[in-house]
Amino acid sequence: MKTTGLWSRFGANLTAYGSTLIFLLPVYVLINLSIRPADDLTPPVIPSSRPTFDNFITAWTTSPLPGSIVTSLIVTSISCLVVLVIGTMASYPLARSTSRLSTGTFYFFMIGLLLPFQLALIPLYIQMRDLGLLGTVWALVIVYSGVQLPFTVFLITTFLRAGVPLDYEEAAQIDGCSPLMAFWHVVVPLLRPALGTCVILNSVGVWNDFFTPLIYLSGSGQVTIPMAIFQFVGQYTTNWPLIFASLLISMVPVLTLYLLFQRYVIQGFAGGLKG
Amino acid sequence: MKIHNRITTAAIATLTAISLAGCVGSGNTGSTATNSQASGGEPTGTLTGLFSSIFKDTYEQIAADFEKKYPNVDVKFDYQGGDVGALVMTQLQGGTAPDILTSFPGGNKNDPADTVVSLAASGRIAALEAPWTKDVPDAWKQSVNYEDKTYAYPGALQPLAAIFNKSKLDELGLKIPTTLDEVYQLCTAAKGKGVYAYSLGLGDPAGPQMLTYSQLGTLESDPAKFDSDMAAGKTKYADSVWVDQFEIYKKMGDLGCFGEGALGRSRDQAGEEVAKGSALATVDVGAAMAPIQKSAPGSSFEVAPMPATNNAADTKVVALPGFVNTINAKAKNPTAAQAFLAFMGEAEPSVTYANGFASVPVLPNDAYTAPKELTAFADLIKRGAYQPLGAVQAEVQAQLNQTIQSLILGQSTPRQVAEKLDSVYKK
Amino acid sequence: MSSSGVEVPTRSGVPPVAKELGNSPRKRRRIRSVGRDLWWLILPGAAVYLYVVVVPTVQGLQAAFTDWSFATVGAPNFTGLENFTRIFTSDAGPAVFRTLQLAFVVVVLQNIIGLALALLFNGRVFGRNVLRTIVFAPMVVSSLVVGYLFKYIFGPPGVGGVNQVLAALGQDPVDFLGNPTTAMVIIIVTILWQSIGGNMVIYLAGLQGVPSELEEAAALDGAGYWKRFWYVVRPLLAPAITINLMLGLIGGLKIFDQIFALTNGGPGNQTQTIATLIYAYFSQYADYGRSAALALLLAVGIAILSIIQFSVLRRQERNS
Repeated sequence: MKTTGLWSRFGANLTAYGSTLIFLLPVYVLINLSIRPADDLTPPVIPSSRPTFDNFITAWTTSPLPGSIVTSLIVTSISCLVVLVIGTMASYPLARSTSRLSTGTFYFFMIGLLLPFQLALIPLYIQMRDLGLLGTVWALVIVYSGVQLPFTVFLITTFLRAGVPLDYEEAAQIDGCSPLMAFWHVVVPLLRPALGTCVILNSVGVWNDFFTPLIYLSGSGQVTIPMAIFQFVGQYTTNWPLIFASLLISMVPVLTLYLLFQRYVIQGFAGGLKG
Repeated sequence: MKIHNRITTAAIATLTAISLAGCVGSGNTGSTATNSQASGGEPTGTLTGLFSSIFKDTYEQIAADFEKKYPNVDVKFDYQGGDVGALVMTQLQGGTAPDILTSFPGGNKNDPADTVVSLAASGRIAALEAPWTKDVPDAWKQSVNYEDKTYAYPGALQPLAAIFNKSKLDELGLKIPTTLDEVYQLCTAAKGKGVYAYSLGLGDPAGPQMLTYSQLGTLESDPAKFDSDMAAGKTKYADSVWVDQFEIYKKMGDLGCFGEGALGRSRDQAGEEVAKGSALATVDVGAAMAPIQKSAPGSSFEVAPMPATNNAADTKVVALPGFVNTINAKAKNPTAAQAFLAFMGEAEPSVTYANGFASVPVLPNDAYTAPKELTAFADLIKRGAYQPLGAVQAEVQAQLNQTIQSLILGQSTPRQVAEKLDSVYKK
Repeated sequence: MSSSGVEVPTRSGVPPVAKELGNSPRKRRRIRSVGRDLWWLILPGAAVYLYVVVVPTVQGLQAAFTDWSFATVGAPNFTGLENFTRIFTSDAGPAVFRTLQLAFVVVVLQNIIGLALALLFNGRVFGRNVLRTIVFAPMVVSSLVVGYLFKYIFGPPGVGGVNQVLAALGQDPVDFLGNPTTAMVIIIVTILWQSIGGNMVIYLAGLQGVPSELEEAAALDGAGYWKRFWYVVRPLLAPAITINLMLGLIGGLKIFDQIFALTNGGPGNQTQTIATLIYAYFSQYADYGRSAALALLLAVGIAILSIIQFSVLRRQERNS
């Protein structure tokens, strides 16, 4: 009995490490491609014989990558904050009210998940032009706040319905809290795990977006990270080693964010499930 | 969590359109050159423009020289990577495009695209007043003219031809083919030596068309006439020399000219194969040569036109302008924009431009001397032994690339490929 | 599980669960009043959603019934259902079938592998937090660049990494992306590599809700592993399954980046899906009317399928 236990633990570890290794292989290829010099044409699985950091240096110095990190951080953090605030506010009555109107509104938000982005692209661009926001990060903040809202509402509403029992709010109200105070002082703190999940997933989406910032920021001199990376994509030729190197650089901030919020992500998903 | 692809999808860099549009040829035939009109006063104010980030250094230099000549103008150009075409089109829709635009030469009135003809026909770009408009060579009028007016600065030409790894050819004792039979022989000979002859980017959105275009230069004697016949419904792809080219394509595929796993190869990877010497040549635009040379600094490479007949004297090199520059019809500073494009056509800026793009100026220019790798091509241009591409509609082009893949897979016949093109052609 | 992370709201100094109130009529009133009193909280979100998503989408949808394209000067002409008939008589037929097929395979594999990994990493594995992070990490990278990266991994002989390994092992090369069937497999592999981490995390979270006493009790009963899984764990995972299947289906039908980067719908249009066609109509052909018509069809299709899936899943959840 005991030996089979040991054996099965050994097997589980082996399988776990084996499958993680499979997940790591593409990352290895990514790193390998970004550290090889232009005239090193060894296949991507064989470690480069002459590894170099030149691609990283070139990517950093010949593109607007350094400044773009600042712009991307500004756009991502403000957008995520806005969508988090309005998304949480909207989710609360949607989750708590059981009326037909509320359910209908929830599904109305969910339609946003289905729409291909091309449908709204040009009309939305013209709306932003009329607001006079082209070339500013505010156009991006508004666009992302709207586009990310359906997912945010879906997640937070599900979490509220399943993971935050009404009892807390009731207790708070009996204690003399107004509904708004109960929401702010009781519900929002309980939502932290779901909010962490939203921050991670929304920021990944905003961080990697290319075409939206391209059309809204073009001409302003500001660029986001994907725009900086795509400076290496030309009409006839594309400099892949520089793109892969820039990609690795651009992953650092978002992975750091992930590490900081990781605990909440797991909890957030878990919280959203109890229903 | 796939839900988040909505945003990442929105993030799409539209790589295809860029590389595709680079090869959309020219369309409506212009006939006579326009006379320049007097421009309105001395240019002042801010001049805006949008260009591909790859050519930033070149444009910045021209802009600096321009500012020296017109000190009252403040040039503020924007450079973006990825799909500049899609950006320009969105900006034009929103009426927010800058004064100077990056467009593609030629085009077709019935094909909505950011090509000179389509933009001019819908009144989105302004006719040019530059004195050089009368110097545009006849062959290139169709690329920059619409209804007898010039709308674009034609820039510079690059070849669309075979790029050979000369060192590898010499090592194997093989030579560059000058007739179609020699092309087939090279394929067999290369196979015998453990390499393959033509490494094409058949898996690339814009890859399969390259060989077709490079041979149409020789097969099609009058692309402009073919285009107008197509527009008038007088001919079809299925009744044209295009079918002959597809026959050649099929035969080359059957002979193993393109190597193992050809359909999974991108254009970058095709270039790598030539640099490594695993393949003898690729067929691509001249701009593809720089990265190949950079990957194999020790080897020498040579550009040669792609034979399509058995008479070596028939062979013509296909030349094409990549981007052209146009003026937004709603430009905020039309005077400065006109002055800038007039300036670009002058001898010195034209040389700066041609060198920056590693190509040969379209406008006759005594100040230009071709660099070593372009002397042969420049010579062909000077002698007139070249052929422009005809106009290919965007949807025809996309289907051309897809159905050539079917042809190589053995799922379509050369005639079916042409019929597919006819089915998506817009009259 | 979430309640474990929930702190008693000590600020108010009141026990969180006032059980004695549980069945009183006061509670019922309160439940409804909670949402009703704060209905206005929805306003900012609704305003932004209407302005950014609804209004422009409705405008865009009108294009589906017109000949609007980049070449249109002035107002586009109303063409009725012409865009739709053009779509139905073109390549869209096989693309619809392929889209469904792809979404189905991706959703099934995502869930089987995601669940298996979750069960594995939920067990006593050394350094499991690090391993979980690694499996989750691909989710945070641009899926477009991931597509290009996999183009190098599954490239043709002489270039591709996997073919290099095959050659070293003395195997025949495989034309991964040049053959329509294998190209589809590679597209699926790429999508799975990137998305499975998300499924795994959701299942992991669901597994935290399975009390270990329950499992131990079943183990003492002598229930085998699969029996235990089926009768004890699976019913408790039902909500996780619902979320994964719902998000998987919606996302699966819209997959674009990986196909675009790997094959662009080729070879010979044989990996073309609705999403890649919408892109081609919109960005390559600048045919906004036709693109809007296809986008409308896709959205309606996703809506119908997800409503069916949602109701089936809900019923099963209730039954279990």
